[in-house]
Amino acid sequence: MAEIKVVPLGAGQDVGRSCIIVSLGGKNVMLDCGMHMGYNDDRRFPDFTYINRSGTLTEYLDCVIISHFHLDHCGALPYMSEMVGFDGPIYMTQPTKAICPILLEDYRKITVDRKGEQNFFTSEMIKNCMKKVVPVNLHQTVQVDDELEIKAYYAGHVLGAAMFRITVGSQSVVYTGDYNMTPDRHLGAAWIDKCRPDLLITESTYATTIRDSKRCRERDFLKKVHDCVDKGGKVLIPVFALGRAQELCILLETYWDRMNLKVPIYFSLGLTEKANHYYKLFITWTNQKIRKTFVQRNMFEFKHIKAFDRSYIDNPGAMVVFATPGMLHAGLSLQIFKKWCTSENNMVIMPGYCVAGTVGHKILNGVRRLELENRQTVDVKLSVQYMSFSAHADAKGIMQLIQQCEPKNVMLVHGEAGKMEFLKKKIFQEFGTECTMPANGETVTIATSADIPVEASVNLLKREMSSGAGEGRSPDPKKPKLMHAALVMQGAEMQLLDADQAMNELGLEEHQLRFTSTVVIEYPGEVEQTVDRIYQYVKGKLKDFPVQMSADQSITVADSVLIKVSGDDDEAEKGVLVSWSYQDEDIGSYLLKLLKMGIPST
Amino acid sequence: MLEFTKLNKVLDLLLDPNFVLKDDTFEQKILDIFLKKCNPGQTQGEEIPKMVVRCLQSLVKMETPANIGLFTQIMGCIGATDTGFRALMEHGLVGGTLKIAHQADAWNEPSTRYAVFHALAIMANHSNACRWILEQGYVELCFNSFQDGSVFVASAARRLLSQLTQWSYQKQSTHQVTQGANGLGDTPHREEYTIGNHFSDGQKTICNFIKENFAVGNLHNNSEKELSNTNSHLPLHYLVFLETLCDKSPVTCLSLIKDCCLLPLVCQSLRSRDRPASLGAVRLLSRLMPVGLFDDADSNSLILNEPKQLMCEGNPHVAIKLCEAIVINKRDEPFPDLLQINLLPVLVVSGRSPPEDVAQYGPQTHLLMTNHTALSKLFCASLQVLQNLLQQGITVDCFEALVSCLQEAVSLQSQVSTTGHLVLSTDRVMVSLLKTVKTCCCQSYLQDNDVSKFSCGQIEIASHLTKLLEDTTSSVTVAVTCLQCLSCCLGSVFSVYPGQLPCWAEFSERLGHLLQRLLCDMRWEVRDSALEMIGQLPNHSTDPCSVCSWITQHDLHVLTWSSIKDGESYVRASGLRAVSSLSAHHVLWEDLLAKSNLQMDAVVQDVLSLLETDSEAFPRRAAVQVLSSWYSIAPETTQAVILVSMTTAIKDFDWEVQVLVLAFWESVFTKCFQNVDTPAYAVVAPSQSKQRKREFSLEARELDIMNRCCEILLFAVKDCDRKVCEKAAKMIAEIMPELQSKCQNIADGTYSVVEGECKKDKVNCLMESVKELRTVDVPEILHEKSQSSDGYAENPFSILDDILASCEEPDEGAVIDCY
Repeated sequence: MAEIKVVPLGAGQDVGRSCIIVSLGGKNVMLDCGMHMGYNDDRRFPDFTYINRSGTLTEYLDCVIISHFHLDHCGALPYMSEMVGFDGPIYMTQPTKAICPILLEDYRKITVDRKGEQNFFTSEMIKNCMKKVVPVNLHQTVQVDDELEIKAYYAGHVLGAAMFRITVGSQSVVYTGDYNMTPDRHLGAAWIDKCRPDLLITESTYATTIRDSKRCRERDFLKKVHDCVDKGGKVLIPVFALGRAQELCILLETYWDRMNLKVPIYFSLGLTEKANHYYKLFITWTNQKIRKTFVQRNMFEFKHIKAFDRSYIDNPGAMVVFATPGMLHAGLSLQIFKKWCTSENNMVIMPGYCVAGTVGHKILNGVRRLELENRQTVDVKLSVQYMSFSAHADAKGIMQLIQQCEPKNVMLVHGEAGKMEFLKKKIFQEFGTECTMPANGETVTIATSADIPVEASVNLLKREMSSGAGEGRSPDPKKPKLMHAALVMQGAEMQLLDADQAMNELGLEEHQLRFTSTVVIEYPGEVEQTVDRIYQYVKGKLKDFPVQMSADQSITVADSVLIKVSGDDDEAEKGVLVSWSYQDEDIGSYLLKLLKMGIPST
Repeated sequence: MLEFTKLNKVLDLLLDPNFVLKDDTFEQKILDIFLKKCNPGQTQGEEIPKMVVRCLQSLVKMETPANIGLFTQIMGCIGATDTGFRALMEHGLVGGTLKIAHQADAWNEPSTRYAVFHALAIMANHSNACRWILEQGYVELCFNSFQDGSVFVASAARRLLSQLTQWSYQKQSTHQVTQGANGLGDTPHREEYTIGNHFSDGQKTICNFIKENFAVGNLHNNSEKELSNTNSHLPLHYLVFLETLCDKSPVTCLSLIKDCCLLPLVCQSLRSRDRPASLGAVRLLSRLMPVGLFDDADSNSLILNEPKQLMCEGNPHVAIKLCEAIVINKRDEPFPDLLQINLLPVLVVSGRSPPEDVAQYGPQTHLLMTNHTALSKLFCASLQVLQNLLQQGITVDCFEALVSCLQEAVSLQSQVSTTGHLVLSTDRVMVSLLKTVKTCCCQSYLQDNDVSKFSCGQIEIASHLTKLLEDTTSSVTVAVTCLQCLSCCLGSVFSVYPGQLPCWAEFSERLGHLLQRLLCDMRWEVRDSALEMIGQLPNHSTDPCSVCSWITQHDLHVLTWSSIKDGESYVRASGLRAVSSLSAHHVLWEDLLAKSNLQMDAVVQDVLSLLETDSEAFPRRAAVQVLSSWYSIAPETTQAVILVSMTTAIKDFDWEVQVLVLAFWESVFTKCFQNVDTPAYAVVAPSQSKQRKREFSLEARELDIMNRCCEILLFAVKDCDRKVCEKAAKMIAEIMPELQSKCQNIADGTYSVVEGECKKDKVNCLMESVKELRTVDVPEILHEKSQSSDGYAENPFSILDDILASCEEPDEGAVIDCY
């Protein structure tokens, strides 16, 4: 029995450090290679010693696939390819390839700030890693080697995110990465065809949530920002270099335009140009509305959003600032926060996840007196808001995807255990599909049926088709049909042939097998009478079969079973010979049994 | 004390079965507290163990405790010292806690199983704990867990058993030292491990379990020779255990293998159909070779015969790997047969191997060598081995074979489909081949004293590489690796007067045209690699003149210069670095300026413009590096311009640009005011003679440098990026004495200002800046910036605040998001 083995090295019942090893058809594929921002030592990366205890991974992996540029999916890639060692192909979409280095550099900066730069990759390593990347287009089947092929599908979520189908022979796995089944302001919804994979590995971040309307969250966000700046307050929005920030920029830009607001909006210097450049470059990856309006106006050319200079921190009056890094743990966003946090008029909006230990995490947990690195304490008086604009599929979206692609098995990753358990039951109830949710390090084996391609001769097919149907009727395509044929193997190829054709091709002669048995019965009277009696008896018993008496006093049943009676007219004991071919074993055995029981006189 | 109060509160929270840690890293970080505080050898305060004892006692009473795994591991941390262990034992908590963990529901969770093994491994630091663990029968549980459904649980089980094994053997060895045959305090000779009645209990337990499972017979009676006929082999999970033990102590591992007569089984595992198992066996043997695997005559002959046998059995992949290990570990002995085995796939692909070479190893191997999929894998394995051998300095005569492979690869264009071509048609194989060729070239392994023959060989390689690059259909990875290989190769070629070689003229023309094309390739990876190659070429060669003249001939330097305007930031950065490298060669540089109709000033201006206006950080970093290298050789007027730009550049958004700028200023300051017997910067005192007046005059340039240094330092020391701030603070500490001394001399009238030479306002500005710099609390900044912004790195107890804060906030169903 063929099987697929899956081991999550990260994102098994948690979020962060996504890295899933899939083995199918003798091929080993790594799906994503992320890091965990919650650790500052080797625990931030997946444990690759599972794949190879020492040495490079080139021999052990056939390819690596990266779904999108979020650091929990690609943050460990330069470490894996340049420090552990992997020289094989790395596949990702073009936008992901373009944007990954920016976020990886950003991550380097964060790591240096956290003094975690021991055993960490350099800028040169990031560049060398990117040189190994093979970009893929959507819906393009890429042949990795003779047997392994991959295909990318649109995933929404962020620019360039893709879901991947991995196929080896008749086995296939679909890995979703992170995806969104709802279109947003600049990206479309995820889509996949009815590919019926053996296994669907799906994220389950919002496994138990049916998300509220996005419009409500947007309205809430805009209202809060507007109220704050109306009162002369400043709004700080810590963001990562690229990603969600662009979504929020479009939101604010549109609102500012509509409401004719003059309050300045700033974006960290350097990021605006980069973001605009990539979003313009990959306009075809955005949604239809953006593409349509692009001709008249580029949605990423912002009139109200300007580059930020550090000297603006102390400017009086209202403003909105997007600054990195996203968890308020270092750099410009923290510097701004320190300056602004003591005023009740100001606000900080966290649009994404903050790992434990960061200032962002602390203030989200209600800490109002912060001790900073220099033992300085600050009172946090500004308003702290958390508004998740993350673009993940909710429970409804996950079910929708399962319905779309019809997998034979489902595996849940990238979520919380308790919530996954709930969703697992729902999936089984709704679809009857087996669902697993392995923890990190746990191996799951999925049995698959191996399809063996076999050629069938045209004559055979025609014969079988015509035998099933009635006169003038075509065979019913919905009913399974049992085919009688000979399976002939020549070299590595197999063929289904008609028996005669098979024998002909193989140079064989057909042999017939006949069985003969003699039963002694007690029937007084002449042989002729006995024959006649047996004839009547058999005819009565085998009404569905043609029973004939020949001139030589032999009885033929179904044209191949022969009954002959021998003996003396004076003797009661008569010998009844029954002969049949192996195809009529049933009839022959039956007659034999019947005769052994004796012939009734009437 | 406040920390312990918080810890107490958190532990109480964890005992609540309804309490769940909100962040998935909290558990590990709580353990970090205990691991850091409870390292063996450190004296422990009483507080923590008492707290934990109390919690564990409560845990024992609960029916369905949550966080069992975490408490089990905490117990392990406390039990890691003898004192802690005894304290736990007194209360019956070690067994009690483990009993809870072994309950059905809990034990089904991989996290619980992992916690048990991990806790025991932490505890197994001292004899009492080790003895207890052995007595409780955990050896068997460990062995049985090697195939756990979770790889992490299996790994933890192996680690624990390795620890116990090492302890058992160490204990035995200590025993032997005092009671050994030599009667002295010397480390026992290896043979003293082998015979049974000196075994410790731990050793016996472990060895007996292994023997029972593999029916290796009585330790006393069976010899390895007798067992070498066995057909059974060690499965993968046992091999991995032995490797784990080898990580801890290869000597102990070897001893265990010998005691349990496992060597024949390990050798049989080389034949396992489970590929990871066979490769695991190779790895294990290779790690044991340096610690005495070959000391025993039987083992020696057993292993040395394996490669050929494996080849004949149709197992060339494993044979090749084993050959590598043997050759590396026995490098003093010639092994032509083994090298032949290593090279066989390469020879087959290159077409240099006659069929009888392969046929001698049997039909199965012959079949593998004709199937292109199998041959690809063998070929890559063989190449990797060659690389390793060459890097170890072992001479392997593979040059011609590699050249033939390259030739085959090049002739792919003619679409002839032989097995060799099919093998070489995949990128992965090509990259592997090119890397091996590169290693071969770089090692200069050829012993041949005929230099011109050597160079001809290198040119032949370079010619094939050039032809590969000329094929526009080759993939990016192949092209990039090819360029890296070419760079190595050309370095050797240029070292030996290539102009005198017959094949040089035509080749050099082709190569020049190729590089011109590659510098304009549509793929940024190729352009970048080509620029890197050109930049490194003069440095790789022992005769840079010939390199420069060749570069000049083909205008590659001009194209390199134009690459600083490339659309891709990586390419601009590489272009700048290449330009900087080429500029170190006068003739080449002059030629570039002439052909581009440029003056040095204009060149510097272009680089400065890039520094000021480029939207990406990589080119700006490269620009700073280039300007730093040019500064000292530039004329004064140019230097002044550079200084102005470098003053502005400190405000760059990229922290690495800022750090490089600070490094530049540090270098400038140091060189400007380097040690002279009499300070060149001294302001002239009226009483000095005219001659001395010239010697001690303060130059405007020097005053300018000081002013600018102060300006950038005052900016950088307040920067929000830690590295920038730290660097600035260090620099202030370094140059402050010089600055203060000068200002003091000016202030106290020791030197008066000479009008016309130094403007008074600049002097005043300097005085003000230095005064402001003096107010910077450098020690405090250095102290602050030396800390991590990750609070846990400095103080693991800070996690407790976060846990307590998070549990006070109502759970609004906030979802863990991604980033």
